[in-house]
Amino acid sequence: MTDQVIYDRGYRSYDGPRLGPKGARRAVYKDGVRRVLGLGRKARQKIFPWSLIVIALVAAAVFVGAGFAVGAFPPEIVPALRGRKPL
Amino acid sequence: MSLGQSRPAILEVSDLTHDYGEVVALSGLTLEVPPGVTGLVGANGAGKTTMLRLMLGLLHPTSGSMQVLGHDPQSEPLVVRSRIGYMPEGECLPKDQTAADFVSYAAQLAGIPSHEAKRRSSETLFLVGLEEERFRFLGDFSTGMQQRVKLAQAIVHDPDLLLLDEPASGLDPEGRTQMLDLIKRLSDFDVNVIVSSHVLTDIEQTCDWVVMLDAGNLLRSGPLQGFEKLGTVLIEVLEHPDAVASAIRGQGFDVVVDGLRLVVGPGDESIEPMVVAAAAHTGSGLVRMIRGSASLEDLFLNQETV
Repeated sequence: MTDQVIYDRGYRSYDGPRLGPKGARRAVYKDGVRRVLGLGRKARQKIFPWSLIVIALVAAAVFVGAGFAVGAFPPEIVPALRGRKPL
Repeated sequence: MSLGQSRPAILEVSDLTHDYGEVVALSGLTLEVPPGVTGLVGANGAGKTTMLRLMLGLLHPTSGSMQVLGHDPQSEPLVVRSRIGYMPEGECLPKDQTAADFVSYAAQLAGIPSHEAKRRSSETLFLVGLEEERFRFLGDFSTGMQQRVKLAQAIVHDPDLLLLDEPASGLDPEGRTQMLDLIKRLSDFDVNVIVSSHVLTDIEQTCDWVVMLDAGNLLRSGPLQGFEKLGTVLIEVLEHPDAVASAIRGQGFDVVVDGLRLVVGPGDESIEPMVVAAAAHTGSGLVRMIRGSASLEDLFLNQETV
């Protein structure tokens, strides 16, 4: 036997702060970002946005990697390559 | 302005007309609605939803004026909307969002800070009986559950006035009863409610003030008790039914004679003492006298034929 009690708190009024139109705009922005990324949505809805993100990141990584490989970045931008000859 | 009560009217409408081109949705409406639960009754196309949209400031009246909670929804739409909760009739829920997320989002749209919105979302979903299902997606909800979510998003920000457009629409009898119980429960928490419905029995069960619309015209606006008192009275006499009937007709009431039984009215509570006096005057023994409360349906039909 437990001592837990379920309280029916009914409907409570709200006397706290209200952020007005500014708060509403922030809510729309936040929810918009969450929905675009599929956060809080079904797994199926996450596939497309995260696939796009992965594709963009992979493409960026490939380009940067290729740039390193062919020495396309001047030493002023990438100090680690200073003194190394291009391939 | 008030209705002769200590609390001011939640809705004041003065000579309000709204048309959609050639179609007149509301015509010269003048009425006041006191605090409490009010039923907006009328057949489909009577102007109920137009009235609610005008109250929200989503439509602009062709002529006339309206005050909701003391503010004009045309000139101060944000002030009015911040104090109103609206439950639309149609399907409006995102299928791929959980009930908790959606109700919390509705609270944040009303300006409640994020952490408080989440807490109130859980509490409100608990109130409408969806505490177990709050993390399920809305697309998986039954019609009854979706109606409850729509009610929850309307009350989550603690509005002063709740507008419910056909809240029991599409529900089975059990769901309908539960929804009406919920609305009655809200009135216990001092939330003013305006319920639009074409199902008159729903209004009878929940409301204490009724506004009847018919094709954009106001048929009647008054307390529900007033409607109930306008029923008929069935009486049975021992003898001389025709003499009793003519004595009652002499007092200005309608009488239908069926053998020794007479149906008197409709009319208010003044019928009973008048019948006793008529029976005594004609020397007829009065066997029984029963008041049958008129349903809103009867009254609505009666008003339509006037």
